Amino acid sequence: MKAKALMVILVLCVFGGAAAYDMLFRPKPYTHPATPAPEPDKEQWQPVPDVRLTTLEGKTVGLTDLAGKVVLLNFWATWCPTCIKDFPGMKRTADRYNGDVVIVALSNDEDEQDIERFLLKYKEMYGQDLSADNFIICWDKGRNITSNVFNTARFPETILISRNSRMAHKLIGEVEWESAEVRSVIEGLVKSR
Amino acid sequence: MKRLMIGLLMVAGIIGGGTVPVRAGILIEDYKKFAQIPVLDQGRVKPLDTFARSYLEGFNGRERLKDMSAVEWLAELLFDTERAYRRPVFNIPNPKLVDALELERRKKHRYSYDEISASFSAHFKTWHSLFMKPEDELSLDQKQLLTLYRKVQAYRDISRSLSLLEPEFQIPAGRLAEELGISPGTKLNYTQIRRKERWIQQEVAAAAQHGTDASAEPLTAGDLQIIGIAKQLQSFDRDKRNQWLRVVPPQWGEATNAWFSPWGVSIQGHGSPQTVAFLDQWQALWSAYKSADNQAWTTTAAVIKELSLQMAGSAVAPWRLKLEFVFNKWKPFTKSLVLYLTGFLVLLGGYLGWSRAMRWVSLSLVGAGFLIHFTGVAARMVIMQRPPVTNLYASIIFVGLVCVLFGLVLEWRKKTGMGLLIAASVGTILQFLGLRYDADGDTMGMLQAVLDTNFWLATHVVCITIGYGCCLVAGVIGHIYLVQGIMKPGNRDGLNELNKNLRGVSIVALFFTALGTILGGIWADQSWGRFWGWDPKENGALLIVLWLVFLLHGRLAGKIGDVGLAAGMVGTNIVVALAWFGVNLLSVGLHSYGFTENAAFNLGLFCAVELLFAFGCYLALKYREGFLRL
Repeated sequence: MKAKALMVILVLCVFGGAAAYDMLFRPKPYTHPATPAPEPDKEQWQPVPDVRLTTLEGKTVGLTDLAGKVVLLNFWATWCPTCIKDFPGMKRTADRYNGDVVIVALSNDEDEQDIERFLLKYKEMYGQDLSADNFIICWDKGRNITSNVFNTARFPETILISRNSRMAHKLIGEVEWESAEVRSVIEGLVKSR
Repeated sequence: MKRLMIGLLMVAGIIGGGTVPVRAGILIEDYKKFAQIPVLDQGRVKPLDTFARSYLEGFNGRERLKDMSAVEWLAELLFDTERAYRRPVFNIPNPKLVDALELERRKKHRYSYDEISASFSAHFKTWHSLFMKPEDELSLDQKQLLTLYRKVQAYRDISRSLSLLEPEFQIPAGRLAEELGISPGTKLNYTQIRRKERWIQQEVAAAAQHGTDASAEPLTAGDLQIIGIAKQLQSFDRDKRNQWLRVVPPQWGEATNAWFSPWGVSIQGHGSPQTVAFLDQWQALWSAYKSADNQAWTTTAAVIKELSLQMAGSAVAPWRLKLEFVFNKWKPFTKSLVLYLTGFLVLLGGYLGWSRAMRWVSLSLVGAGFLIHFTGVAARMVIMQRPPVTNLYASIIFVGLVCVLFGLVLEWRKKTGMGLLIAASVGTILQFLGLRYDADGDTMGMLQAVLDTNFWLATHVVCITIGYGCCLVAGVIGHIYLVQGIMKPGNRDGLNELNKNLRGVSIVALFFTALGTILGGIWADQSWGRFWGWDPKENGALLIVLWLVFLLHGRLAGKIGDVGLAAGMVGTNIVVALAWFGVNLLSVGLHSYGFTENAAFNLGLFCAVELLFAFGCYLALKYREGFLRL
């Protein structure tokens, strides 16, 4: 009788232990690498490097100078068609937030004049003036900042910087700026103070 | 007490006498920190030590080379590639392959990357069409040749994992040096020169235009230099897809198990200011290795490890990596194998004299082996965060543990030496078998999707494997009964006692295999929507249950005698072996996740020997009794 009771207890212990183990240590399911996390871990956001960028007008602007606003740091080049395709949507996104969102578009062109020529052509094609307060175009001469500071080589790439100058997300390649996913990420950053 | 002390001293000697670190013959001495750098490989984060061991084993058949450990080999492959290419690492045991590659036959079957790749290059046109064929149309030798080709490619790719950090571009005097703002002769790496990749492409395009225009000036020396650099840049095209050494943790909210290789992070857009700092440290490690600066090497490796853990955040537990490193180094299963084997030999020696003392010594050795074996299984569970059995290798190790435990419990209760004999012999055999399967690479790899549930792994799989273990113990008792029946036919008490034990163990085996089979059906119902599908593995499990039911009921009904039961239990080993390994060899059905090649012959041999033994002994005993009654 004792032996039978012991056997029953043993089986119950095995099952109970296995169930508890399964609940406690179940490995996390795999998620698609490029999907932005819905609830990002803000503790892990790294501060943006305090680099000085040169605008086309020759002024310098620091990324930390833009603290208080959400910054979309965009790496692009005039020879990159996807980058140019991204601009209208990106500009509309910035316009939607009345100055709370600023785009810093860091060009990787070899020649500064290529950028100026492109801007004129862009205005003709899209009827959109990129020389606005919420769209700062800078030139990364020699690609030092893009490559050596941000380790970026694939265009376009956009780093979303929070109001307190922390790098929250990176959008790699062409972006659906009007998609609910991207809008919710940007809205989340705009709302967080 | 004295006997116990002798036993303990022997155990301490075996445990203490572990592997002595052998230096590589090169100038870096301490690889401890480097070995603990985390890397994502085959779906899980592991220390570089495990990465190096599993790949070296794949290339060489062994976890270390004659004069260097696996991490030393990996460091050489990453930082001193030319030397690594000359090292005879590849194991080609098949002489037909050696002849096909036009290599000289060697006693130790080891060849270098340089030798093999030269031969592949020379015959590539011949073999290219062969490699394009579906694998099931290839002969065994052709399959082996294809496998070797893939290994050679993998070896090359691993060696190029950090090629973006090697200063391979010597910048000549001229326009490029001026553009880059550096003095001529400076050596740059890919990440440094890629900033000017676009400019170089434009220059090459201009030069090409230049070349097509007959009236234009001929190409200048400057043009040719830039074309040379462009060609060199082009040679990195394959490296850009390199995904082998995933040492960079995700930085932008990607899945915690999506780590990147240095190339991946730089080319595929996952870079960040942190990855710049991280890759700078790898560059420093490269320099430290090249200049044989031991202090810088150790410090930098430690920094890389810390940075990596910092970047990975809570996704990686540092203590788990450390535990895996210690586990690799300590090799608990090899140690327990040595202890079981020694215990077995001492026990055999005891049959010649000093039997009581020898049994004590043997018990100490097997007991210590069991503790180490148990610690090893527990460590694997903690590292993998999984129940003990996750793949074929783990099932062998776990069944070994169950058998040794069963043997020790029998010994504790009966004190006849039989339990000890079972523990030592089965422990030795299964640990040895486990070591053979260990050579398949990382034994802690991620699970097939169907197995990805801790609940069923902890219940169905554990029950079935405990059942396998009990069956094997019953099988060994069957062997002992038959041998004793032939050698000591007059010892009726001993034989009766053995038969009693045999029935007891068989009932326990039946309980676990039946329970495990039913649980497997419930799991199958949840996973595949049906309780039973006549899958080979399901049939195998059912066969064990039916065989045990047949034997036990036959015995109860008086249709099978003691000898028949013993011989039948030897047959249980065959049924278990077929259900356990045979199903995987078929490579069909939903359970073929443990497929291994070249095991069919060994399995066939085992079954034939067991069958011969059981029939031989049965007939001999029955002949002696004078009549044939089951």
